[in-house]
Amino acid sequence: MLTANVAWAIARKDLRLELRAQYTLGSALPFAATMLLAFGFALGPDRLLLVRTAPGLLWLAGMFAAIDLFHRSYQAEAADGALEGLLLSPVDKGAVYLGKAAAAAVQLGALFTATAVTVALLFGLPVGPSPVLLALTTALGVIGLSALGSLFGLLTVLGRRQAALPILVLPLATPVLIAAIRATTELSTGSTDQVAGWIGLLVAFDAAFLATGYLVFTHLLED
Amino acid sequence: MKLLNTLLIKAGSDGAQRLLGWATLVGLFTTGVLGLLVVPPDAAQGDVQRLMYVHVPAAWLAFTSFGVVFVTSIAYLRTGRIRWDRIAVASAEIGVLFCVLTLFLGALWGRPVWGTWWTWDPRLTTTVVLLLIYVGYLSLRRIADSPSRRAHWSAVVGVVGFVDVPIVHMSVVWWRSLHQEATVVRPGAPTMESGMLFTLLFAFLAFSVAYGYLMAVRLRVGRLEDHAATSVMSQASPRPRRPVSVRTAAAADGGENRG
Amino acid sequence: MVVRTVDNLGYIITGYAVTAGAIAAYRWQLNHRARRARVLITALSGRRPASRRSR
Repeated sequence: MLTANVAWAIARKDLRLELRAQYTLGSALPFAATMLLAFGFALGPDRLLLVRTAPGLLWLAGMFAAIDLFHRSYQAEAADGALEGLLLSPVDKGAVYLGKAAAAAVQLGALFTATAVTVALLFGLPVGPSPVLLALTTALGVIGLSALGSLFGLLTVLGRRQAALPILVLPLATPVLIAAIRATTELSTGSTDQVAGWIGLLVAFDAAFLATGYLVFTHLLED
Repeated sequence: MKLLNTLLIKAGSDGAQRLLGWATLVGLFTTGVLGLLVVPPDAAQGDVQRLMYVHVPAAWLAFTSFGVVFVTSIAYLRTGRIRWDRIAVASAEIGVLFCVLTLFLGALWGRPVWGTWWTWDPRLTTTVVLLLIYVGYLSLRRIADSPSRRAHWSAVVGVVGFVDVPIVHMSVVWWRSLHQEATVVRPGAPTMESGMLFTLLFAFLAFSVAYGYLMAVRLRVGRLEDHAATSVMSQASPRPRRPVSVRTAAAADGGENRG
Repeated sequence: MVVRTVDNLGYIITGYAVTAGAIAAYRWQLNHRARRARVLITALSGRRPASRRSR
Protein backbone atom coordinates (compact mmCIF):
# COMPACT_ATOMS: atom_id res chain seq x y z
CA MET A 1 0.00 0.00 0.00
CA LEU A 2 2.71 2.40 1.00
CA THR A 3 4.82 1.33 -1.97
CA ALA A 4 1.99 2.11 -4.33
CA ASN A 5 1.43 5.50 -2.67
CA VAL A 6 5.08 6.47 -2.97
CA ALA A 7 5.30 5.30 -6.57
CA TRP A 8 2.14 7.21 -7.43
CA ALA A 9 3.43 10.39 -5.78
CA ILE A 10 6.71 10.20 -7.69
CA ALA A 11 5.00 9.42 -10.99
CA ARG A 12 2.50 12.24 -10.53
CA LYS A 13 5.28 14.68 -9.75
CA ASP A 14 7.23 13.64 -12.85
CA LEU A 15 4.21 13.89 -15.09
CA ARG A 16 3.28 17.31 -13.72
CA LEU A 17 6.85 18.40 -14.47
CA GLU A 18 6.49 17.00 -17.97
CA LEU A 19 3.21 18.79 -18.53
CA ARG A 20 4.79 22.08 -17.53
CA ALA A 21 8.08 21.70 -19.38
CA GLN A 22 6.62 19.88 -22.41
CA TYR A 23 9.91 18.12 -22.87
CA THR A 24 8.70 14.95 -24.60
CA LEU A 25 6.80 16.55 -27.41
CA GLY A 26 8.85 19.75 -27.49
CA SER A 27 12.34 18.31 -27.59
CA ALA A 28 12.48 14.49 -27.73
CA LEU A 29 10.01 14.17 -30.58
CA PRO A 30 11.81 16.69 -32.82
CA PHE A 31 15.00 14.73 -32.11
CA ALA A 32 13.34 11.48 -33.19
CA ALA A 33 11.90 13.16 -36.27
CA THR A 34 15.32 14.53 -37.23
CA MET A 35 16.75 11.05 -36.90
CA LEU A 36 13.99 9.57 -39.06
CA LEU A 37 14.70 12.19 -41.71
CA ALA A 38 18.39 11.26 -41.57
CA PHE A 39 17.50 7.58 -41.96
CA GLY A 40 15.44 8.57 -44.97
CA PHE A 41 18.43 10.37 -46.50
CA ALA A 42 20.67 7.40 -45.79
CA LEU A 43 18.31 4.86 -47.35
CA GLY A 44 17.13 6.91 -50.31
CA PRO A 45 13.62 7.31 -51.67
CA ASP A 46 13.01 3.62 -52.48
CA ARG A 47 9.46 3.16 -51.25
CA LEU A 48 9.63 -0.61 -50.71
CA LEU A 49 12.91 -0.44 -48.81
CA LEU A 50 11.54 2.30 -46.58
CA VAL A 51 8.38 0.35 -45.76
CA ARG A 52 10.44 -2.73 -44.98
CA THR A 53 12.85 -0.92 -42.65
CA ALA A 54 10.25 1.41 -41.12
CA PRO A 55 9.50 -0.67 -37.95
CA GLY A 56 13.20 -0.90 -37.14
CA LEU A 57 13.75 2.79 -37.75
CA LEU A 58 10.74 3.66 -35.60
CA TRP A 59 12.12 1.77 -32.62
CA LEU A 60 15.67 3.01 -33.11
CA ALA A 61 14.65 6.65 -33.37
CA GLY A 62 12.28 6.29 -30.44
CA MET A 63 14.88 4.59 -28.31
CA PHE A 64 17.65 7.11 -28.89
CA ALA A 65 15.25 9.95 -28.16
CA ALA A 66 14.14 8.07 -25.03
CA ILE A 67 17.72 7.86 -23.74
CA ASP A 68 17.69 11.64 -23.55
CA LEU A 69 14.39 11.56 -21.70
CA PHE A 70 15.78 9.30 -18.97
CA HIS A 71 18.70 11.64 -18.51
CA ARG A 72 16.38 14.62 -18.33
CA SER A 73 14.14 12.89 -15.83
CA TYR A 74 17.00 12.43 -13.37
CA GLN A 75 18.47 15.85 -14.05
CA ALA A 76 15.33 17.30 -12.53
CA GLU A 77 15.81 14.93 -9.61
CA ALA A 78 19.38 16.11 -9.00
CA ALA A 79 18.66 19.85 -9.18
CA ASP A 80 18.54 21.92 -5.98
CA GLY A 81 19.53 19.02 -3.75
CA ALA A 82 16.25 17.24 -4.41
CA LEU A 83 18.04 13.92 -4.59
CA GLU A 84 19.39 14.30 -1.06
CA GLY A 85 15.86 14.90 0.13
CA LEU A 86 14.72 11.77 -1.62
CA LEU A 87 17.61 9.82 -0.12
CA LEU A 88 16.79 10.96 3.38
CA SER A 89 13.07 10.36 3.15
CA PRO A 90 12.06 7.17 4.92
CA VAL A 91 10.39 5.52 1.96
CA ASP A 92 10.97 2.33 0.02
CA LYS A 93 13.53 3.26 -2.64
CA GLY A 94 12.20 0.53 -4.90
CA ALA A 95 8.89 2.39 -4.92
CA VAL A 96 10.70 5.52 -6.09
CA TYR A 97 12.10 3.48 -8.95
CA LEU A 98 8.67 2.14 -9.89
CA GLY A 99 7.28 5.66 -9.86
CA LYS A 100 10.07 6.96 -12.08
CA ALA A 101 9.60 4.02 -14.43
CA ALA A 102 5.84 4.55 -14.61
CA ALA A 103 6.20 8.23 -15.45
CA ALA A 104 8.90 7.43 -18.01
CA ALA A 105 6.64 4.81 -19.58
CA VAL A 106 3.86 7.35 -20.00
CA GLN A 107 6.29 9.83 -21.55
CA LEU A 108 7.73 7.20 -23.84
CA GLY A 109 4.24 6.09 -24.78
CA ALA A 110 3.47 9.60 -26.00
CA LEU A 111 6.85 9.82 -27.72
CA PHE A 112 6.45 6.51 -29.54
CA THR A 113 2.89 7.26 -30.59
CA ALA A 114 3.97 10.54 -32.11
CA THR A 115 7.05 8.91 -33.68
CA ALA A 116 4.89 6.16 -35.14
CA VAL A 117 2.65 8.76 -36.75
CA THR A 118 5.75 10.41 -38.23
CA VAL A 119 6.99 7.06 -39.54
CA ALA A 120 3.59 6.26 -41.01
CA LEU A 121 3.60 9.60 -42.83
CA LEU A 122 7.24 9.64 -43.96
CA PHE A 123 7.78 5.99 -44.82
CA GLY A 124 4.24 4.86 -45.54
CA LEU A 125 4.17 2.25 -42.79
CA PRO A 126 0.69 0.65 -42.76
CA VAL A 127 -1.06 0.20 -39.43
CA GLY A 128 -2.17 -3.34 -40.28
CA PRO A 129 -5.33 -5.20 -39.39
CA SER A 130 -4.95 -5.19 -35.59
CA PRO A 131 -4.15 -1.78 -34.09
CA VAL A 132 -4.91 -3.12 -30.60
CA LEU A 133 -2.03 -5.61 -30.77
CA LEU A 134 0.20 -2.88 -32.18
CA ALA A 135 -0.67 -0.67 -29.22
CA LEU A 136 0.00 -3.56 -26.85
CA THR A 137 3.41 -4.20 -28.44
CA THR A 138 4.30 -0.55 -28.15
CA ALA A 139 3.17 -0.41 -24.53
CA LEU A 140 5.16 -3.49 -23.55
CA GLY A 141 8.27 -2.34 -25.43
CA VAL A 142 8.01 1.08 -23.83
CA ILE A 143 7.69 -0.43 -20.36
CA GLY A 144 10.78 -2.57 -20.96
CA LEU A 145 12.82 0.44 -22.08
CA SER A 146 11.57 2.50 -19.13
CA ALA A 147 12.50 -0.29 -16.71
CA LEU A 148 16.09 -0.17 -17.92
CA GLY A 149 16.35 3.56 -18.49
CA SER A 150 14.89 4.53 -15.11
CA LEU A 151 17.37 2.22 -13.41
CA PHE A 152 20.56 3.43 -15.06
CA GLY A 153 19.40 6.98 -15.82
CA LEU A 154 20.16 7.73 -12.17
CA LEU A 155 23.85 7.18 -12.87
CA THR A 156 23.94 10.09 -15.31
CA VAL A 157 23.51 12.56 -12.46
CA LEU A 158 25.77 10.88 -9.89
CA GLY A 159 29.47 10.22 -10.19
CA ARG A 160 32.44 12.19 -11.41
CA ARG A 161 31.48 12.16 -15.03
CA GLN A 162 28.19 11.53 -16.72
CA ALA A 163 27.64 7.84 -17.30
CA ALA A 164 27.48 6.84 -20.95
CA LEU A 165 23.87 5.74 -20.71
CA PRO A 166 23.62 4.22 -24.23
CA ILE A 167 26.55 1.89 -23.57
CA LEU A 168 24.77 0.52 -20.53
CA VAL A 169 21.22 0.48 -21.79
CA LEU A 170 21.43 -0.47 -25.47
CA PRO A 171 23.06 -3.91 -25.12
CA LEU A 172 20.72 -4.78 -22.28
CA ALA A 173 17.75 -3.66 -24.36
CA THR A 174 18.58 -6.07 -27.20
CA PRO A 175 15.60 -8.37 -26.50
CA VAL A 176 13.17 -5.43 -26.39
CA LEU A 177 14.47 -4.12 -29.68
CA ILE A 178 14.31 -7.47 -31.45
CA ALA A 179 10.92 -8.47 -30.09
CA ALA A 180 9.27 -5.08 -30.60
CA ILE A 181 10.66 -4.62 -34.10
CA ARG A 182 9.72 -8.13 -35.23
CA ALA A 183 6.23 -7.84 -33.76
CA THR A 184 5.70 -4.42 -35.33
CA THR A 185 6.92 -5.69 -38.69
CA GLU A 186 4.59 -8.66 -38.64
CA LEU A 187 1.60 -6.67 -37.47
CA SER A 188 2.11 -4.10 -40.21
CA THR A 189 2.37 -6.77 -42.89
CA GLY A 190 -0.73 -8.50 -41.59
CA SER A 191 0.72 -11.81 -40.40
CA THR A 192 -0.03 -12.42 -36.76
CA ASP A 193 1.06 -16.02 -36.10
CA GLN A 194 4.42 -15.12 -34.51
CA VAL A 195 3.22 -12.03 -32.67
CA ALA A 196 1.98 -13.87 -29.58
CA GLY A 197 5.48 -15.24 -28.98
CA TRP A 198 7.13 -11.87 -29.29
CA ILE A 199 4.59 -10.31 -26.96
CA GLY A 200 5.27 -13.11 -24.50
CA LEU A 201 8.96 -12.35 -24.68
CA LEU A 202 8.29 -8.66 -24.02
CA VAL A 203 6.13 -9.54 -21.01
CA ALA A 204 8.90 -11.76 -19.64
CA PHE A 205 11.48 -9.01 -20.14
CA ASP A 206 9.31 -6.35 -18.50
CA ALA A 207 8.56 -8.56 -15.52
CA ALA A 208 12.20 -9.59 -15.07
CA PHE A 209 13.56 -6.05 -15.21
CA LEU A 210 10.87 -4.31 -13.21
CA ALA A 211 11.43 -6.89 -10.48
CA THR A 212 15.23 -6.69 -10.65
CA GLY A 213 15.14 -2.91 -10.80
CA TYR A 214 12.82 -2.76 -7.80
CA LEU A 215 15.23 -4.92 -5.82
CA VAL A 216 18.53 -3.28 -6.78
CA PHE A 217 17.62 0.40 -7.20
CA THR A 218 18.40 1.20 -3.58
CA HIS A 219 21.97 0.00 -4.13
CA LEU A 220 22.52 2.60 -6.84
CA LEU A 221 21.67 5.28 -4.29
CA GLU A 222 24.11 3.89 -1.76
CA ASP A 223 26.90 6.32 -0.94
CA MET B 1 30.76 -19.57 -2.53
CA LYS B 2 32.66 -20.49 0.62
CA LEU B 3 34.70 -22.87 -1.47
CA LEU B 4 35.45 -20.13 -3.98
CA ASN B 5 36.51 -17.81 -1.18
CA THR B 6 38.93 -20.29 0.37
CA LEU B 7 40.22 -21.23 -3.07
CA LEU B 8 40.98 -17.62 -3.85
CA ILE B 9 42.65 -17.03 -0.52
CA LYS B 10 44.81 -20.10 -1.08
CA ALA B 11 45.59 -19.01 -4.61
CA GLY B 12 46.66 -15.61 -3.30
CA SER B 13 49.70 -16.90 -1.44
CA ASP B 14 53.06 -16.40 -3.10
CA GLY B 15 53.92 -20.07 -3.46
CA ALA B 16 50.54 -21.05 -4.83
CA GLN B 17 50.66 -18.19 -7.28
CA ARG B 18 54.06 -19.20 -8.61
CA LEU B 19 52.92 -22.79 -8.86
CA LEU B 20 49.76 -21.73 -10.71
CA GLY B 21 51.85 -19.60 -13.02
CA TRP B 22 54.02 -22.52 -14.01
CA ALA B 23 50.98 -24.79 -14.33
CA THR B 24 49.39 -22.23 -16.63
CA LEU B 25 52.48 -21.95 -18.76
CA VAL B 26 52.93 -25.71 -19.06
CA GLY B 27 49.20 -26.29 -19.60
CA LEU B 28 48.82 -23.73 -22.37
CA PHE B 29 52.03 -24.85 -24.05
CA THR B 30 50.93 -28.49 -23.95
CA THR B 31 47.53 -27.48 -25.33
CA GLY B 32 49.32 -25.81 -28.21
CA VAL B 33 51.49 -28.87 -28.89
CA LEU B 34 48.54 -31.25 -28.63
CA GLY B 35 46.24 -29.13 -30.75
CA LEU B 36 48.75 -28.20 -33.42
CA LEU B 37 50.97 -31.26 -33.73
CA VAL B 38 49.62 -34.35 -32.01
CA VAL B 39 45.91 -34.53 -32.79
CA PRO B 40 45.00 -35.64 -36.35
CA PRO B 41 43.06 -33.14 -38.50
CA ASP B 42 39.29 -33.28 -38.62
CA ALA B 43 37.85 -35.48 -41.39
CA ALA B 44 35.32 -32.91 -42.58
CA GLN B 45 37.04 -29.57 -41.95
CA GLY B 46 40.72 -30.46 -42.20
CA ASP B 47 43.28 -28.56 -40.21
CA VAL B 48 41.22 -25.43 -39.45
CA GLN B 49 39.28 -27.41 -36.92
CA ARG B 50 42.38 -27.22 -34.70
CA LEU B 51 41.14 -23.76 -33.74
CA MET B 52 38.41 -25.49 -31.75
CA TYR B 53 40.89 -26.43 -29.03
CA VAL B 54 41.34 -22.77 -28.14
CA HIS B 55 38.03 -21.30 -29.31
CA VAL B 56 35.68 -23.51 -27.30
CA PRO B 57 37.61 -23.34 -23.98
CA ALA B 58 37.91 -19.56 -24.38
CA ALA B 59 34.15 -19.29 -24.87
CA TRP B 60 33.48 -21.53 -21.90
CA LEU B 61 35.81 -19.44 -19.78
CA ALA B 62 34.18 -16.18 -20.84
CA PHE B 63 30.74 -17.43 -19.85
CA THR B 64 32.03 -18.86 -16.57
CA SER B 65 33.74 -15.58 -15.71
CA PHE B 66 30.50 -13.67 -16.19
CA GLY B 67 28.74 -16.25 -14.06
CA VAL B 68 31.31 -15.58 -11.33
CA VAL B 69 30.63 -11.84 -11.71
CA PHE B 70 26.92 -12.51 -11.18
CA VAL B 71 27.41 -14.64 -8.07
CA THR B 72 29.95 -12.33 -6.47
CA SER B 73 27.87 -9.25 -7.33
CA ILE B 74 24.94 -10.73 -5.44
CA ALA B 75 27.30 -11.63 -2.60
CA TYR B 76 28.53 -8.02 -2.53
CA LEU B 77 25.05 -6.55 -2.50
CA ARG B 78 24.05 -8.86 0.34
CA THR B 79 27.15 -8.54 2.51
CA GLY B 80 28.73 -5.25 1.48
CA ARG B 81 32.19 -6.79 1.75
CA ILE B 82 34.60 -5.15 -0.68
CA ARG B 83 36.31 -8.48 -1.27
CA TRP B 84 33.37 -9.67 -3.43
CA ASP B 85 33.59 -6.54 -5.51
CA ARG B 86 37.28 -7.13 -6.15
CA ILE B 87 36.58 -10.69 -7.26
CA ALA B 88 33.73 -9.51 -9.47
CA VAL B 89 35.76 -6.90 -11.30
CA ALA B 90 38.71 -9.25 -11.69
CA SER B 91 36.44 -11.85 -13.22
CA ALA B 92 34.73 -9.30 -15.46
CA GLU B 93 38.04 -8.09 -16.82
CA ILE B 94 39.26 -11.60 -17.55
CA GLY B 95 35.85 -12.48 -18.97
CA VAL B 96 36.01 -9.56 -21.39
CA LEU B 97 39.50 -10.64 -22.45
CA PHE B 98 38.36 -14.17 -23.19
CA CYS B 99 35.13 -12.97 -24.79
CA VAL B 100 37.11 -10.86 -27.26
CA LEU B 101 39.40 -13.82 -27.82
CA THR B 102 36.41 -16.09 -28.44
CA LEU B 103 34.94 -13.77 -31.04
CA PHE B 104 38.30 -13.31 -32.72
CA LEU B 105 38.99 -17.04 -32.87
CA GLY B 106 35.44 -17.67 -34.05
CA ALA B 107 35.94 -15.23 -36.91
CA LEU B 108 39.24 -16.90 -37.81
CA TRP B 109 37.54 -20.26 -37.82
CA GLY B 110 34.44 -19.07 -39.61
CA ARG B 111 36.26 -17.46 -42.49
CA PRO B 112 37.64 -20.65 -44.10
CA VAL B 113 34.75 -22.89 -43.03
CA TRP B 114 31.69 -20.72 -43.62
CA GLY B 115 33.37 -18.28 -46.02
CA THR B 116 32.63 -15.28 -43.80
CA TRP B 117 34.17 -13.59 -40.78
CA TRP B 118 30.84 -12.98 -39.17
CA THR B 119 27.40 -14.46 -39.39
CA TRP B 120 24.31 -13.59 -37.37
CA ASP B 121 24.28 -16.96 -35.74
CA PRO B 122 22.45 -16.91 -32.37
CA ARG B 123 25.50 -17.94 -30.39
CA LEU B 124 27.72 -15.33 -32.03
CA THR B 125 25.13 -12.60 -31.56
CA THR B 126 24.56 -13.48 -27.92
CA THR B 127 28.30 -13.48 -27.31
CA VAL B 128 28.75 -10.04 -28.80
CA VAL B 129 25.85 -8.61 -26.77
CA LEU B 130 27.37 -10.20 -23.68
CA LEU B 131 30.71 -8.57 -24.48
CA LEU B 132 29.05 -5.17 -24.83
CA ILE B 133 27.25 -5.55 -21.50
CA TYR B 134 30.49 -6.24 -19.65
CA VAL B 135 32.39 -3.54 -21.51
CA GLY B 136 29.65 -1.28 -20.13
CA TYR B 137 30.29 -2.79 -16.69
CA LEU B 138 33.98 -1.90 -16.87
CA SER B 139 33.36 1.58 -18.27
CA LEU B 140 30.85 2.31 -15.50
CA ARG B 141 33.56 1.67 -12.91
CA ARG B 142 35.55 4.59 -14.24
CA ILE B 143 32.88 7.19 -13.57
CA ALA B 144 31.89 6.43 -9.98
CA ASP B 145 33.09 9.01 -7.48
CA SER B 146 33.77 6.75 -4.51
CA PRO B 147 34.95 3.15 -4.10
CA SER B 148 31.74 2.17 -2.34
CA ARG B 149 29.59 3.66 -5.08
CA ARG B 150 31.72 2.05 -7.72
CA ALA B 151 31.23 -1.32 -6.06
CA HIS B 152 27.47 -0.91 -5.68
CA TRP B 153 26.91 0.31 -9.21
CA SER B 154 28.94 -2.34 -10.87
CA ALA B 155 27.35 -5.04 -8.73
CA VAL B 156 23.96 -3.87 -9.98
CA VAL B 157 25.16 -4.12 -13.58
CA GLY B 158 26.69 -7.51 -12.80
CA VAL B 159 23.31 -8.77 -11.62
CA VAL B 160 21.13 -7.08 -14.23
CA GLY B 161 23.48 -8.04 -17.08
CA PHE B 162 23.46 -11.70 -16.22
CA VAL B 163 19.68 -11.77 -15.76
CA ASP B 164 19.51 -10.39 -19.29
CA VAL B 165 21.62 -13.13 -20.88
CA PRO B 166 18.98 -15.87 -21.18
CA ILE B 167 16.40 -13.39 -22.49
CA VAL B 168 18.88 -12.05 -25.04
CA HIS B 169 19.73 -15.56 -26.15
CA MET B 170 16.09 -16.56 -26.44
CA SER B 171 15.21 -13.51 -28.49
CA VAL B 172 18.21 -13.93 -30.78
CA VAL B 173 17.58 -17.64 -31.37
CA TRP B 174 14.02 -16.92 -32.24
CA TRP B 175 14.87 -13.95 -34.40
CA ARG B 176 17.24 -16.07 -36.48
CA SER B 177 14.96 -19.06 -36.74
CA LEU B 178 12.53 -16.89 -38.69
CA HIS B 179 14.84 -16.68 -41.67
CA GLN B 180 16.61 -19.99 -41.50
CA GLU B 181 19.98 -20.33 -43.15
CA ALA B 182 21.82 -23.53 -43.94
CA THR B 183 22.49 -25.26 -40.65
CA VAL B 184 26.07 -24.78 -39.62
CA VAL B 185 27.96 -28.00 -39.22
CA ARG B 186 29.89 -27.83 -36.02
CA PRO B 187 32.04 -30.61 -34.67
CA GLY B 188 29.70 -32.28 -32.23
CA ALA B 189 30.92 -33.82 -29.02
CA PRO B 190 29.23 -37.25 -29.33
CA THR B 191 30.94 -38.28 -32.56
CA MET B 192 34.30 -36.92 -31.57
CA GLU B 193 37.33 -39.11 -31.87
CA SER B 194 38.91 -39.96 -28.50
CA GLY B 195 42.20 -38.13 -29.20
CA MET B 196 40.30 -34.97 -30.07
CA LEU B 197 38.11 -35.30 -27.02
CA PHE B 198 41.14 -35.72 -24.81
CA THR B 199 42.81 -32.64 -26.31
CA LEU B 200 39.65 -30.60 -25.84
CA LEU B 201 39.27 -31.70 -22.23
CA PHE B 202 42.93 -30.96 -21.60
CA ALA B 203 42.47 -27.52 -23.13
CA PHE B 204 39.50 -26.90 -20.85
CA LEU B 205 41.64 -27.81 -17.87
CA ALA B 206 44.55 -25.66 -19.02
CA PHE B 207 42.32 -22.66 -19.63
CA SER B 208 40.65 -23.08 -16.24
CA VAL B 209 44.07 -23.10 -14.57
CA ALA B 210 44.94 -19.99 -16.56
CA TYR B 211 41.74 -18.37 -15.28
CA GLY B 212 42.66 -19.22 -11.70
CA TYR B 213 46.12 -17.84 -12.14
CA LEU B 214 45.02 -14.61 -13.81
CA MET B 215 42.37 -14.18 -11.10
CA ALA B 216 44.96 -14.56 -8.35
CA VAL B 217 47.28 -12.03 -9.97
CA ARG B 218 44.47 -9.63 -10.81
CA LEU B 219 43.15 -9.77 -7.24
CA ARG B 220 46.55 -8.86 -5.89
CA VAL B 221 46.82 -5.98 -8.33
CA GLY B 222 43.33 -4.87 -7.33
CA ARG B 223 44.32 -4.75 -3.67
CA LEU B 224 47.45 -2.78 -4.50
CA GLU B 225 45.56 -0.31 -6.65
CA ASP B 226 42.91 0.20 -3.99
CA HIS B 227 45.63 0.70 -1.44
CA ALA B 228 47.32 3.24 -3.70
CA ALA B 229 44.05 5.07 -4.26
CA THR B 230 43.42 5.21 -0.51
CA SER B 231 46.90 6.63 0.12
CA VAL B 232 46.39 9.28 -2.52
CA MET B 233 43.09 10.25 -0.95
CA SER B 234 44.44 10.38 2.60
CA GLN B 235 47.36 12.52 1.41
CA ALA B 236 45.08 14.84 -0.49
CA SER B 237 42.71 15.37 2.42
CA PRO B 238 43.27 18.63 4.34
CA ARG B 239 43.56 16.93 7.74
CA PRO B 240 45.83 13.87 7.78
CA ARG B 241 44.87 11.17 10.24
CA ARG B 242 48.27 11.03 11.92
CA PRO B 243 50.95 13.70 12.34
CA VAL B 244 52.95 14.05 9.17
CA SER B 245 56.69 13.64 9.52
CA VAL B 246 58.95 15.80 7.40
CA ARG B 247 59.96 12.81 5.38
CA THR B 248 56.40 11.73 4.62
CA ALA B 249 55.45 15.24 3.65
CA ALA B 250 58.37 15.41 1.22
CA ALA B 251 57.40 12.05 -0.20
CA ALA B 252 53.84 13.25 -0.54
CA ASP B 253 55.03 16.28 -2.47
CA GLY B 254 56.99 14.05 -4.76
CA GLY B 255 54.00 11.81 -5.19
CA GLU B 256 51.75 14.67 -5.99
CA ASN B 257 54.13 16.10 -8.52
CA ARG B 258 54.33 12.71 -10.07
CA GLY B 259 50.58 12.20 -10.27
CA MET C 1 44.97 -27.75 -52.74
CA VAL C 2 48.34 -26.36 -51.75
CA VAL C 3 47.00 -22.82 -51.61
CA ARG C 4 44.09 -23.87 -49.38
CA THR C 5 46.37 -25.63 -46.93
CA VAL C 6 48.67 -22.63 -46.67
CA ASP C 7 45.68 -20.34 -46.14
CA ASN C 8 44.34 -22.42 -43.32
CA LEU C 9 47.76 -22.74 -41.75
CA GLY C 10 47.82 -18.98 -41.53
CA TYR C 11 44.46 -18.93 -39.75
CA ILE C 12 45.53 -21.61 -37.29
CA ILE C 13 48.88 -20.05 -36.46
CA THR C 14 47.26 -16.63 -36.05
CA GLY C 15 44.63 -18.09 -33.75
CA TYR C 16 47.06 -19.84 -31.44
CA ALA C 17 49.55 -16.99 -31.49
CA VAL C 18 46.93 -14.37 -30.68
CA THR C 19 45.57 -16.50 -27.84
CA ALA C 20 49.01 -16.84 -26.30
CA GLY C 21 49.79 -13.20 -27.04
CA ALA C 22 46.58 -11.91 -25.46
CA ILE C 23 47.07 -13.84 -22.24
CA ALA C 24 50.73 -12.81 -22.07
CA ALA C 25 49.88 -9.18 -22.79
CA TYR C 26 47.24 -9.14 -20.08
CA ARG C 27 49.67 -10.70 -17.62
CA TRP C 28 52.25 -8.08 -18.55
CA GLN C 29 49.73 -5.28 -18.15
CA LEU C 30 48.83 -6.57 -14.68
CA ASN C 31 52.50 -6.52 -13.78
CA HIS C 32 52.77 -2.98 -15.05
CA ARG C 33 49.75 -1.88 -13.04
CA ALA C 34 51.10 -3.54 -9.90
CA ARG C 35 54.44 -1.80 -10.34
CA ARG C 36 52.78 1.56 -10.81
CA ALA C 37 50.61 1.08 -7.74
CA ARG C 38 53.64 0.05 -5.67
CA VAL C 39 55.59 3.09 -6.83
CA LEU C 40 52.69 5.32 -5.85
CA ILE C 41 52.30 3.70 -2.44
CA THR C 42 56.02 3.92 -1.76
CA ALA C 43 56.11 7.55 -2.83
CA LEU C 44 53.21 8.45 -0.58
CA SER C 45 54.22 6.53 2.52
CA GLY C 46 57.98 6.72 2.32
CA ARG C 47 58.34 3.01 2.92
CA ARG C 48 57.53 -0.20 1.13
CA PRO C 49 54.15 -1.68 1.92
CA ALA C 50 53.81 -5.16 3.35
CA SER C 51 53.44 -7.53 0.44
CA ARG C 52 50.12 -9.04 1.56
CA ARG C 53 48.17 -6.11 2.76
CA SER C 54 44.45 -6.12 2.16
CA ARG C 55 42.24 -3.03 2.03
